[in-house]
Amino acid sequence: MNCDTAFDLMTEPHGSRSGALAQHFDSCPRCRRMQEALSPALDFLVEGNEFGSTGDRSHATSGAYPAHEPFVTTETVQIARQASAHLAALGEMPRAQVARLTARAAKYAAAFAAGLLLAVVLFSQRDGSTPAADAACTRREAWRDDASRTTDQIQALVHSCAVCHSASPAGNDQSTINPAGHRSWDWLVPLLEQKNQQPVDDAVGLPTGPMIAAREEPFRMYAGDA
Amino acid sequence: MIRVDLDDVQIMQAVQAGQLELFDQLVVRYRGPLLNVAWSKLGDSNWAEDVVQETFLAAFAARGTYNPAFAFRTWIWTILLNLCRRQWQRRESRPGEQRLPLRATAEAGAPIEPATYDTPLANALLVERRAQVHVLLKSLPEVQADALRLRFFAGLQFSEIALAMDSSLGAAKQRVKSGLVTLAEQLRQTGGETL
Repeated sequence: MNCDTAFDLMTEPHGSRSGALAQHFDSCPRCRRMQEALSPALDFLVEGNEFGSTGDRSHATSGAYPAHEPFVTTETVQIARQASAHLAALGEMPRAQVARLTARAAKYAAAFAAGLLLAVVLFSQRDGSTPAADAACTRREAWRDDASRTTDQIQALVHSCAVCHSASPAGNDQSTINPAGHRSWDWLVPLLEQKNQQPVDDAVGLPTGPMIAAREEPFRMYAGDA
Repeated sequence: MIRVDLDDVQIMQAVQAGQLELFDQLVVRYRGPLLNVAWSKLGDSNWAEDVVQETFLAAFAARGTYNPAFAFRTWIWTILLNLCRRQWQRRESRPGEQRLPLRATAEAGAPIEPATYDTPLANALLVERRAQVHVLLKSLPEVQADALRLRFFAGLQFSEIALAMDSSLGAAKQRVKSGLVTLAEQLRQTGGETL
């Protein structure tokens, strides 16, 4: 039993005596507190109804008012007709709501299917253009035997990296595979054209001298900054 | 009167088909609860009698418009609430027909309720309790009071209350709950002495 059903039972004339309701109170202190808070009103109304439902209802009137003959007016009948039309309209509402909800669900389903189809098409195209060499990165292989690397090998290494990766000189660790890769070559050109390649530091496998020193210059935002 | 084991819809369909006498069955079924609600709403047994009588007559006269798609009892309660409202407005606009003060009437030994109960004491208790119910419910907002009447005196389900009061199911429950909270608070404060 949920709290909603418990409230239904609570407000039924003899619902408060229900065993199921008592069980619910054991496990739901919130409903139990509500029942305790409402009990004066609940008792009052239930008793009031029991009082009202006892005795003979033939209603011999006391004579305080003259007894009326049965009567009905056009206005009264109109009220009954309006109530009838109104309830009939309300009875139709759930069906209209179901139709509306079904139409809305169909629209959502169509939109979802279209999105799914588009995603499948896009992914299939992307899969076709992705180089299969991602796992076999030559740069990683090259760094492994850094101690014996020659200048030509360094050039070959840089070329091999630039073929696949679109890394920038700003030092972006998140370099991405770039199958086209043409633009990523631009920043490498001045380095590759240096005739006097620096000797490689055997300890770290990086070239030493002016190339490294240039990278260690302090950042200057404007030309002429000290 | 012949007792029949037809449900409300079957009776109404039979009445629509020409078995007019079967409408009495519906009167027998609903007269008591309707009177109880009308009395608690109007605070006067004669007004309540009038309204209940009108309600049945109106339903009978408009029987052709009844649609089995909705419950008869929702229909009859909707008619009653509307007629009670109209009756109240009519009486308010005609001060000469103001109801008698409930307590004064009861204490004077001239109960406005039918004198056909077991003992005078039982009758006095009944009148007093009804007066209490009327006074307390009258102090609530009308929608809350009507929701309480339909729930406790008419025994309607919340879905039927929602239909009769033209509200959502949630609103019907909320009205009952709010009415109960206010009523309980009033009863605690007054210790049940409302008159």
